[in-house]
Formats: sequence, C-alpha cells, structure tokens
Amino acid sequence: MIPIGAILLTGAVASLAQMRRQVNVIDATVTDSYFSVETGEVKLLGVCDLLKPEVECWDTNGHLSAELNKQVLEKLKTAATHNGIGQAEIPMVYREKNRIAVFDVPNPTGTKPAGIFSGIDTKDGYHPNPISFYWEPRLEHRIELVPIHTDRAETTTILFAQFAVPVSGSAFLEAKTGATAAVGSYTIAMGEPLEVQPGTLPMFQPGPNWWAPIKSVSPGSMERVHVQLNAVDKKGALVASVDASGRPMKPAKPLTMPQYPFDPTGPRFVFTTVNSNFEDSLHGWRLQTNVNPKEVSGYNVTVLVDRTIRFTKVPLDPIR
Amino acid sequence: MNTSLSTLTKIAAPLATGMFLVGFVARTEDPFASAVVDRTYESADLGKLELAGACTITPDNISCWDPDGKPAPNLSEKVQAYYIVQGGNELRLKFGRKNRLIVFKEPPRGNPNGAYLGQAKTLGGQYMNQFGTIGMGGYGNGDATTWYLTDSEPTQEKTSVVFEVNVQFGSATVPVKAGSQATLGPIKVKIESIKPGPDRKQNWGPNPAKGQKTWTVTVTLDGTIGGKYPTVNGSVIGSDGQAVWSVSASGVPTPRPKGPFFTPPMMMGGFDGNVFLASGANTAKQELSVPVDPSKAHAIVLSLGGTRQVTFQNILLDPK
Repeated sequence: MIPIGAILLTGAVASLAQMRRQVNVIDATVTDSYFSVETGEVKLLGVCDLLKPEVECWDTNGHLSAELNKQVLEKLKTAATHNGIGQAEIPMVYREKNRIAVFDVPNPTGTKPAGIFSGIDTKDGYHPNPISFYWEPRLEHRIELVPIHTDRAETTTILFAQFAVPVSGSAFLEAKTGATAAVGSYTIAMGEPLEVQPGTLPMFQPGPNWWAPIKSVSPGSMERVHVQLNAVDKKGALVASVDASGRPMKPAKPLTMPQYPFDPTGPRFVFTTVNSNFEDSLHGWRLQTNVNPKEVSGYNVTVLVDRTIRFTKVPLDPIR
Repeated sequence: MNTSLSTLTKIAAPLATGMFLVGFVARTEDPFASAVVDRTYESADLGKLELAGACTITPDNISCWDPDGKPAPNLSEKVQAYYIVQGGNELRLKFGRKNRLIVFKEPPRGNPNGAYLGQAKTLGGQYMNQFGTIGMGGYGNGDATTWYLTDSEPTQEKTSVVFEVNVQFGSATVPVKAGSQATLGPIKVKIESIKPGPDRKQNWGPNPAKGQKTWTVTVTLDGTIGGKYPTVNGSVIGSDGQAVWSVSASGVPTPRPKGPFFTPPMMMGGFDGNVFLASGANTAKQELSVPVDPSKAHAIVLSLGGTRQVTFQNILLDPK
C-alpha cells in the first residue's frame, strides 16, 4: 500500500506491510470482480480456512468449492521461505476468525495495465502481507492469498483492493526554488532545498542529504495523489548513482533492479524520497534525497492517483 | 535439585550420545561442555533451565501438557492469558505441519553468574524466531516462562530444542599497542603485534569499490579453560572515550549519529554500527581484524568468551 499523499520511491521496493490507512474515498463497490482499462481485472475467487485439519474453501456466495480448494492447495506447494520453497506460513491470531481471501489480481506486463495493484486492505485499515511464493511466472494475472482476521462473531467482511493509476503525461521540474511542473491537473512547486548533515536522517548515511519541500499548487485535495520523481543530471540522463558528496556518477556496475540501499556490493541507491509529516501531506511533501540538488538539472515528474475498490459481503464462513 | 532414581535414569540415557553430563541433572563444570538432557539443565554460571511442557495452538484453544504428556491446565492458562492480553499478535503457523509451542522455565538473562542464555534453535540449526514469554526473566533479572513455536512432520512424536549458552570471562581495556596485556579470568591475553592489512576490497560506504583499510591485531592466550582456548572479542575506544561507532574507509572514527530521526544504520557507513571485533578462533594465537587506524584509537577492550550448547531431547509433541 502506498501511504496517502506520498512521494513514491523510485527504483526501489518499499516495505509497505502492515501500514494503516483510513479509506475515505471509494471508487467502486463490487461483490466479486472489478475491471477497468487502467487497472485490469481484480477478482475475489473466494475465502479459505487453512487452519482446519481439512482445508475448506468457498466461493463469494459461500458455497464450498472443491475447485478452489484444489487451486489453493496447488498454490501453497510453491510457497516461499526465506531460503527457498517451504511450507506456507499461515498467520493466526488467537481467539479471532482467521481466514484467507483468495484474489486473482493483475500483474503489470509491458505497459498493461498502466495502474499498479498495490494490495488489499482490510476494513480496519491494515494491509496484510499476502502469503509469498517462491517463484511465479510473469503472467497477466496471479493468485494472491490474503490473510484476514476478524472478530469471531462476524459472518462477512469488507476488503479494499488498492491501485495507483498514472495520470497521463509527465513533466520536468527544474531543480530551482520556485520551479513548477504540471501533470494533468496537478501542479507541484519546488521549495528551497536544505542540506542536512550526515547522521541526522535515517537514510543514506554517512553522506550529506537534502530536504526539499515539494508543494502542491493545484486546487483541491492531494490526499490520494502520489508524485514520483526521477533525478536528471545536467546532460539530461537519469541519475543512476551518486558519490559520497551527492554528485551523479556512473554506477560501479550495470544497474539491476531493484537497487537497495543496503546492498554492500551493488551500486549505491541513488535517489529516494520520504513523505513529510502526515498532517502536511495534503499540501506538500518533503523530498529527502542523497542527490545534491545543485548537481542535477531537475526531476522527471509523474503523478499517480489512488483507486480504491470495495469488495462487500466477503463471506467468512461457508453455507452448511 | 531432584535426586530421585527415576530422574537419574532419565538423565543417564543421553550419555550415550558422547556429550558431557555431571551430577543428577545435567550440570557442567567445563564452561564449553555441551549437554543433552530430557528435562532439566543446571550450571553454576547459568542457573536452571527446565522443560515445562508443550502446547497445541488453534484459533479457538491452547492446550498444554507437561514433559510426561499429562494435561497441564495451569500452563495452558498461562499461555492463553499471554495471547489474550497480547490481542492481535500473529503466530505464523506452518501449513501442513505439526505446530507446537515448546515451553521452558528459563533462568534470568541478566548474566548474573557469567553465562547467559542465547537463542533457541532446532537440531537443524534454525533459530526459533517466534516466541512468547511471561515473567521477569526475558531480559530482566528473574525467572521466566518462555515458549518457542516449532513445526514438525505430522507423524513426528518427539522433538528437540537446542539452546546456545554464551559464556564470558571478563574484559579489560588496554592500550592499542604491541605488548599490552590483561588477565581475563584465568588467562593472560597479550597483544603480540599490530600490522596494517589485509585491507578489505569493499566497504559498506557510499563507494564500495574504495575498500576498507584494516589492521590485524594478533593476540596470544597463555592458557585454556576446560581444555579449550576461548574466543577473543573486543571493541575499539575512540579519543572521546566511547566505543567507536563507525569509521571512514581509511579507518578514521566518525561521530556517532545524533538527532531525533536517528535509527541505527545497517552497513551504511564506512563501517557502521559499533565496531565489534571477534576472532572467531579457538586457538592460542588469534587475529582480530580491526577497521580502525590504531593511531586514532584510544584503547581496545578485550574480552574472552565462548558458547556451549544445551539440547533438550525427547520432547513430546502430543499429550499421552
């Protein structure tokens, strides 16, 4: 899940598990499937109880489904552990109803769909980690097994499928105080970058870091808007790596995805952002970067907007 | 201490494994002597570690039994209370496996007598990362009831749990120069030489290709404990009198990070985190690889340590 009003990380995979959010805006309400050109199709196939001695799965109408049982058991055989294929780990909360929601979700392949599926949220605002699998073919769709825990008395629940859909077009934001860039109806402006001494921020030590306020100058709320920035050097190339003083440099070896800041052997993680304190995020963000703003010409800007699909009446028990 | 004949018989069995046992319960005078027991392990330096029982755990019930397989309602209540109080705590159960909580009464972890309990692991060496604890033990000064989640083949009837016991024999601060020496426990440790190199090809800083300048401190030990040379560990004290936190690629200590956003960096400086030295050897002559320029170091803290293993075997996975 992407935090509300965040500036996205670039070239990195953020750990987004178990974050909590308030779902304020619902774009569509469905019982078993949703499709749009931007997001592709997301389907709720059913729900399973994997903690019983005999696994039980049922469809969205609550009818026991041998076919779904088979599909889920087959999938669990490829479950991942940290060092290879192993037994799937099923999260269990004592004295709660523990279920696994089975979704068929779109995988971005090529340019379709353009929207990014960012996971399933529960009605409590949690974003549970789906059960992970060792290897999956890069098909257009994949099965996602999402653990949910509810009060034992509940018979149905609500789940939210989250997408981030790009606004068409991109823009260039000059690395200059007061510069602006517009993508669709969204315009952002750059504030005065502030150099932060090493050791004062949680990321990118020990080199210097910069904070740059990025403000929305668009009318209306930016609550569900994510701005993604990629640094561009003075020759017009995307910045792939920086030296200890924040100057763009050629990477030590060809870049591979994803680049983690913790990788001791790979090229350094180059550019990222951190969202500012939450209250301010409706109007702007604070970019944290280890790329010296004075050493770049600016940033390529893309904008994504949340799309939230509500799945209602998800049955937590089969019809007997 | 239990001196009954039945206990003696139970404890005698593991002798066949070639491990060391002394006394009625497994009691060791040799600090490095590993032990295999069924119920209880006790030593002067650690205290008493006892198997309390095992439990099944389902979403609706936690049911425990004692080491003989007899129902242990008090233990069940204790563990249930923990999960009720810790509402929402997830246990990740392995799908298709026999999941059990193995419960121990543990001695204080505050190391009052020179040894402290390390992590529990399986016979295969995998650490048991899911555990719960009740009581002042934990990391305090009293005994604790602690349990660890294990998983076994569904047909398996018994399991084993292995504890690491970390033993320490004191420490001393000495100047960073050849000839410095200290008596740690019964052993005199002497710095024989400090030589530059071998440098590391990589560091964990912003430019890993730069390498990490390193010095080799060779120390000698004039004796053994229990017939074994303990391992020499150490840390470097900087000119500010504090343990060196991180160093540049050339070995110069860098300031400890400050600020409200500080989180301990992981491998992100030249050499980040407390500069901890461990020879990893059990010989009369040991080498410490030190990433700090000796001319910039105020002192070095040397300590002697080692580990032994205590294996609890024949733990019943089901009640009788």
